[in-house]
Amino acid sequence: MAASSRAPVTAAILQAAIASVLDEPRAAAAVELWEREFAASKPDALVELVGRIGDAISEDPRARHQARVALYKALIERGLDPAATMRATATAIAASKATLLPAKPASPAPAPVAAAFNPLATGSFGRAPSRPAYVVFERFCETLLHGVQSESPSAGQLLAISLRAQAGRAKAFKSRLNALADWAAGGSLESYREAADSELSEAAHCLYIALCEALGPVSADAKLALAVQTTQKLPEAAAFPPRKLL
Amino acid sequence: MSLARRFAAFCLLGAALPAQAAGVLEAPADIAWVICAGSLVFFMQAGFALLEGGAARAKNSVNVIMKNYADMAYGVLAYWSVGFGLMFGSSWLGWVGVSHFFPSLDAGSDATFFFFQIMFAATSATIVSGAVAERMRYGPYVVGSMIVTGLIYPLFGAWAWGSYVDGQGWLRALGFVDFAGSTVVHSIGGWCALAGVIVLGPRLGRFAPDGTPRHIPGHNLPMVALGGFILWIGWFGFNGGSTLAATRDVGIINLNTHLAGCMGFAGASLIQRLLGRPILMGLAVNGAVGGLVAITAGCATMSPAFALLTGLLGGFISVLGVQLLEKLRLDDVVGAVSVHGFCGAWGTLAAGLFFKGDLFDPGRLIIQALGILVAFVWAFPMALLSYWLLDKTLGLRAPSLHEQRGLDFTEHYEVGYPEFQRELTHGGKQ
Repeated sequence: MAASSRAPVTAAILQAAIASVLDEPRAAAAVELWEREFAASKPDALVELVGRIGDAISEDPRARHQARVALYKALIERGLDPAATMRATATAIAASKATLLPAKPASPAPAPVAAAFNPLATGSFGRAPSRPAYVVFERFCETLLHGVQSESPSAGQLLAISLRAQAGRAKAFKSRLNALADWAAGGSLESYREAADSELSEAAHCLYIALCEALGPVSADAKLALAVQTTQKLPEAAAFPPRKLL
Repeated sequence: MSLARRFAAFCLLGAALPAQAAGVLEAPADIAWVICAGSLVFFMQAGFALLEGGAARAKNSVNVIMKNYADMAYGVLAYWSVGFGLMFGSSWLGWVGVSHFFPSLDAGSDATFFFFQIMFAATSATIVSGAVAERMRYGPYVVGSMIVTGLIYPLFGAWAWGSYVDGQGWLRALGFVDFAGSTVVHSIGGWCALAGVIVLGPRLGRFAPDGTPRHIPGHNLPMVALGGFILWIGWFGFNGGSTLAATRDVGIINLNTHLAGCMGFAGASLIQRLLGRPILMGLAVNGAVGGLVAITAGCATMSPAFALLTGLLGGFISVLGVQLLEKLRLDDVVGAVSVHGFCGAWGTLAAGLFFKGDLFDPGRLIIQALGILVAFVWAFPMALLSYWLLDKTLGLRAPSLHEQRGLDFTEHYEVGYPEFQRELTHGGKQ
């Protein structure tokens, strides 16, 4: 109920944010995606929506990442934090599960789950929802990177250099490290979407080493602690605690 | 013979080991004093634990303190089984003791002597733990510590202080003066620490890619300060007890010790000011310890005025030595190489320079310099080889993941401050 009452407000803000970031045809496609798959059934799944829009923007991971970041910023500037919305919904769902018996949805029936997960059915926007481990990992890395960039604008580049150096020395895990270096230089973490938990943990450690080399161990420890605290608040942290990345 | 000359001769002929003479450590008062002094030296381990544990990051503090305990616990075994015999057994041509391995120590005087000496051996070994903190694995460290207490320290000790039973060490025979061990205990420990630091390499991120050193503050400076105070009081047993008798000489020895410690603190503060820097407490405490290390060789053979000077320069050296090591990209967590190695060398030189009744004697100075050089040439390569072998066989350096998690957790599966480290504590060992 709460989700559907918020939908008009969300839609207006969303359309404004999309229009400010994307060109006209892409903005129209994004709004269409919103109306087709999200507005009725999951208006608070903005994180997923932004991810899907980003995926449709370009094949280039860096461009996709930039588009997603721009969209997030545009939404937050308009007072709509996708992560906070998602958390609020999760809390509401948890509360309703705790107090009520399962009820029929008030809004129109959601699209069949199979269709949502079927890329053929949804065209370029179709994508399976991210695993909790990946969501936690992505937020963990982004928090670290934001921390680094707030300390020194060039630190992101230092991070990338250090990660590439690690990739040069590594006997295994080379491609993953290079992907991480690409991400630090402005790319995306897409290649980690299906990575095993152990690979995510190893990547987090390599990132820590790069942080130590770029900023020093004191700063690295502080940023690591902050990243854990931040990601601990994600709903996905219940399924994949960020401490598993340490 | 004047009192001063008799006193000088007493020191030259092995003041630390008058037990060779009949009747030494037989009188109850002597035994009581040396046991008390030995207990004070034991208490120095608490000082090292606090100083080193406080100077390390919170996630490594338990590991550092465990190493201090291991130095004492396993060091006793190595020293009792092999070290004591090498150091104080019947001297073979002044080079090595060849008796008294696994000693039974039935006599009260022998046991008292051994009790006092074992504390010295553990002190030498524990100097290493602070320098190599936060990245050396516990198991290989213990093996390294036993090599120091069982071989490196006692063999040089045999040259400078041996023997308790028969004959004397070749350095001692030359007239080398090191009353309580500026070189024998502290420099040897400092050179071993230097070797460990070189083999291990610096902690993650300790130096920026361009070589700029990055400060990694210790997690608890009050612990460092308290550790410094405990070391200081322990030094009164370390130096005062080296008379091995409850004599009136203990007074001047401990006065000199105290004055040098005070001036070491002042010297470290002054040099920081002269360098245009704030007076950091950690370095100032290190300066006090540097002054105490420096006076250890000559505390029984120099006047208080020279003790002041020796301590002051010890304070200077403790600070400048840290800078030198940083320039060389050597990561010594607590400044042990500077405080124990460099200040010990300076103190040994000062013991020759300021020898009461024989000031600035070039011949004495040469012998002192020879002793310092021999200590380095023996201890440093031996320790370097030992740590290198340990690195190649057991693996000396903790993996970088363990450095990230902290050695408290990865080596001992516990953390020193769980309330404040929850975010950084991994959920499982692997």
